Amino acid sequence: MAENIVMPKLGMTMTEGTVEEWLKEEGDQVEKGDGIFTISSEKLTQEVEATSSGTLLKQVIAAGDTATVGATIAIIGEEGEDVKEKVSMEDAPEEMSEQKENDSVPSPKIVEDHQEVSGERIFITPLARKMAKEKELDINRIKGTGGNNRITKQDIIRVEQYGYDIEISMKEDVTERVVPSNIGAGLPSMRKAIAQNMMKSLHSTAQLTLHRKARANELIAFQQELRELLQGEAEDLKLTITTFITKAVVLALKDFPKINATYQNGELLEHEDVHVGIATSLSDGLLVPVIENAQYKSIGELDKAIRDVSWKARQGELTSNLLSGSTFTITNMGATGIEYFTPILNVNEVGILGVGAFQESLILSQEGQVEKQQSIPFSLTFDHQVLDGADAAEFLTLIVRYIEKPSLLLI
Amino acid sequence: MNKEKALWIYEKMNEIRYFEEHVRVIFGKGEIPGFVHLYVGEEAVATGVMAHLTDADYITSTHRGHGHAIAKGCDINRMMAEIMGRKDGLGRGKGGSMHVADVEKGMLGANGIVGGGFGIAAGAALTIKTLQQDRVAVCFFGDGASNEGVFHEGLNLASILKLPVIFICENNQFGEGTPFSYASASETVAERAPMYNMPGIRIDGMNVMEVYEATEKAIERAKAGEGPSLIECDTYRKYGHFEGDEQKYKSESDRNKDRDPIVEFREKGIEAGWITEEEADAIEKAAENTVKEAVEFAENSPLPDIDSLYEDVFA
Amino acid sequence: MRELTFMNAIREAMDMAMDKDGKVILIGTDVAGGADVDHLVQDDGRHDDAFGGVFGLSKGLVGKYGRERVIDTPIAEHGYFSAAVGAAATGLRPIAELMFNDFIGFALDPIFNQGAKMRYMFGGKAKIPMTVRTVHGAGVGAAAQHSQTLYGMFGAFPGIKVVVPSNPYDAKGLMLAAIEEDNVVVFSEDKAIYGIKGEVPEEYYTVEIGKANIVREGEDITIVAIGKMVQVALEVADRLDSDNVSVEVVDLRTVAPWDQSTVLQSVQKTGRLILIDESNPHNNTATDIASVVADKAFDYLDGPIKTVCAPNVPVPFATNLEQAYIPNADKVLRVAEELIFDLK
Repeated sequence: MAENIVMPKLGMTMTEGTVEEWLKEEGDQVEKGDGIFTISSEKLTQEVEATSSGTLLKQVIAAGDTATVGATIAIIGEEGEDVKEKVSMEDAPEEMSEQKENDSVPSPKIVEDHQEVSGERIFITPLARKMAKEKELDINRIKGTGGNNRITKQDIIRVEQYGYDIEISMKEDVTERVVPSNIGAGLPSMRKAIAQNMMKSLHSTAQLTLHRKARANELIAFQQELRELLQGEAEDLKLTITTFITKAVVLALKDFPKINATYQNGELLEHEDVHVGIATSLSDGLLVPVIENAQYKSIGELDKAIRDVSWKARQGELTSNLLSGSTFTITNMGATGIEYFTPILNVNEVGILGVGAFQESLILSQEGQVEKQQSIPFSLTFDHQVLDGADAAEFLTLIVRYIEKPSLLLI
Repeated sequence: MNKEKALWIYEKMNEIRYFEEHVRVIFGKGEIPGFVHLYVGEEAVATGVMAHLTDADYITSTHRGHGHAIAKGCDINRMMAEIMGRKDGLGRGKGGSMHVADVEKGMLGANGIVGGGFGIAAGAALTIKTLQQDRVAVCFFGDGASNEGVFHEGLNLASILKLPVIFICENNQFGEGTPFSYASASETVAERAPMYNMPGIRIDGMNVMEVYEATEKAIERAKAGEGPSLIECDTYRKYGHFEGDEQKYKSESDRNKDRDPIVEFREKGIEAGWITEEEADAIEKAAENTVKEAVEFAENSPLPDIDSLYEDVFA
Repeated sequence: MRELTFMNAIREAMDMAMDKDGKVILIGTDVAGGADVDHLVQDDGRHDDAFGGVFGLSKGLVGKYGRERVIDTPIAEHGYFSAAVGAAATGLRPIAELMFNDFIGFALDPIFNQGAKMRYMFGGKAKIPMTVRTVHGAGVGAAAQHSQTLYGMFGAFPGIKVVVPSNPYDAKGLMLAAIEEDNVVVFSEDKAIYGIKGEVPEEYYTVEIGKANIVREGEDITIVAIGKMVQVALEVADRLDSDNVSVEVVDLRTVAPWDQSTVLQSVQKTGRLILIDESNPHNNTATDIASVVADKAFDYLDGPIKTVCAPNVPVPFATNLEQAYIPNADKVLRVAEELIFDLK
């Protein structure tokens, strides 16, 4: 029986992907596990493997074209098997996304299509419905893969592991309406993904950036003290300033959870867990690896985690789950000498902290002495839709407090 | 017949009569669910037959089964309770008038299905034969049941297997509202018996003596291993098929209409010297008391426990 | 272990029960055959049978137990089933044979109105230890009035237990259990599997009535099958196994009262249920189980409950039509497709 290979879902926010390259041609024999095509999405390129052995009967999507998650990309089966029915039956969503792709200005038809999808009765098995309720999952955002496209237990398990299938509901289809779908056209896949994310972010949020300096003399002394204390004991700890700043941010987020949030499809969600995205520049772009559950990590553990994800990002070894799901992002331009800037929010998040280069100045101490003062410039961008300036200022003040009184970081 | 039998018969006839008359009144007050089929007028048949039986013998009965049950020795108190749908009923209130039964007394049940008893009685007789017991089975049936197909099957089977069973037809002249003379191609039920190679006689069912004597012969034959007999008792039901029946099918000229088997037997018994006037009066009085006590017993019996709804489906 | 055919396993059970208890009798049309035919009486007085049941299933029993206990009746189902009820109510343990279950129209009153209800109506005072042996099933070209599958109908009446064995071992054990029961038990045999062989212990044993048998364990989908259909379920399980779909096969064994606990537990595990029942598709055992599972295991269902039954037509005669009538593995697989869509 012919088997469909579909566009996989690589991250929580992925809704579609582009077929980069076909590795097998129609008529080729493939073994289970062979790579048959590569796809790119957002920030990642990945090879998709055959899930069964047989003949590649059809390349449904041409290289360079985009398809929604779950849409059939390839059909594997026995040579000579008729695939017409398979394709026509299951590729309706595919046609829709193609249409989107081609219309530079979305037609009302697309909106209608979304309404149809969302307005239709959702078929879900009793078991899946019960599981979704227990796990507080929104069944509107789950794609059913069972018979009659009903949502089954398998779908709940998948969504629980990899995140929702459907990010855009008709309720709040703002981004789809205002962001032309041809953004990033002609760019390499990673650039294209970045382009789309940046535009989506700018078009769907009201971004405002606050700037403030934090005195860092005590933090530097704290760093020195810790390094000396641990000398010879924990050689693998680098204990960079980034680590301390991350720790300060995590603590501040716990103190001020309103900003540890996502706002998406008209739904503002405060998250209990702190998943910190660390923006990391690469030679050909930018990745935001995520440190999950940072609230449970000590300074030492954070230090290791940051180094680990940054290294993996540069080696291209990040798995998709480490590339999505952040609840707040830190971006550090300190190495470039930049002092203040206006970071762009990571899509759906409501805050991002920009860290600038250390600034040195001379100040008069309380004792009337002239002293050298190190300080770190912070740029906090927030979504003014859901937070006000006073909220953001309060949050930034919390961070500054932790930086200026670093012993608080140990609490 | 002797004094002892005659006194027993007269007592049972009166118990049946008083029982049914009381049921009639209680039913009229709306205290009995469903419907009741009264035996008044036919007392000579049940008592004439049952005078020969013991608890070890089996009977199957009909819709009109109260008389058979009393004559077979069923507890009158518990019968009344059953008919009123009470906890202490013979069937724990789950059978009612049409299913009065007491297997320990050999009473295999009144039956809500017309003709339901032919095969069951034959089966009881099959047990007797197989286990070589000194017993008989008696199947009471009405003229209505004689036109059911299973009449043929039951009689034929009993005859070929020579089962110790006696088929007693209570021909009260009407199957519900339809005269037997219309419903049956044969003039009598008895005349069909020879076709099954068994004796069939038609007797005066208002006369206990005739019933008593015919049954005696049939039992002898059955116990001798010669097989079944059929006795058609010409009788008459005083009331309707069920209580509330307007009885528009009846007429002044109906046979047996103005006869009362109890009155006839009292006269005969006194005449023959089996019963004295005083004994007869005392029996009547006692029977009335017995039934009144039964009514009291039944009225004092609670409704069945709801949990019993689920009990006794399986052994 | 010794192997017996399905038919011989049933005969052995009846033989053992009759040997053990003189109150057990066999009654029915031609259960021996040839009654009163002088030349069938052997020199030693033993009776030979003309048929031993129309399928020869009870052959030899009359020779062993005599015509007093192996009783040929006229072709009069209403009469002799009534007699069996009366005999059961008064102390015998009759096995009454309804030659084809299709003849039930003639025998229904004594079974469901008399035998099944006496105990209840009589306030618990009667016992009706009667076994109704009957035969169901298509596949032998017997057409519309000798091929139906009606066990589900008996199961609709309170007071009747119904067992449907799928193999020789169960056939012997269930028959002995049925005869031991103090209730009306319908023992329904699929004539199409009379010849199948299986291991059958020589000793007396019973298979518990009311207990289903998990004949194959699995994780993904439960198939509950009855009688001959258990073989179909096992074939389906083998074929789905190659798709990495793991099937649990439940042999219902008792149709009434069916084993809710085993079926519900299995469905709770797998979340998917297919029922195979050769009955016509409405008001049958499969639909009954489906309704109970939909009610009691609703939150465990990961797909619709599927029934695979015969179509809503009488059993046809022509071989190709008859084969198209009977549920088979291909039909079950077609139905399974919807349920396992997300598993493959």
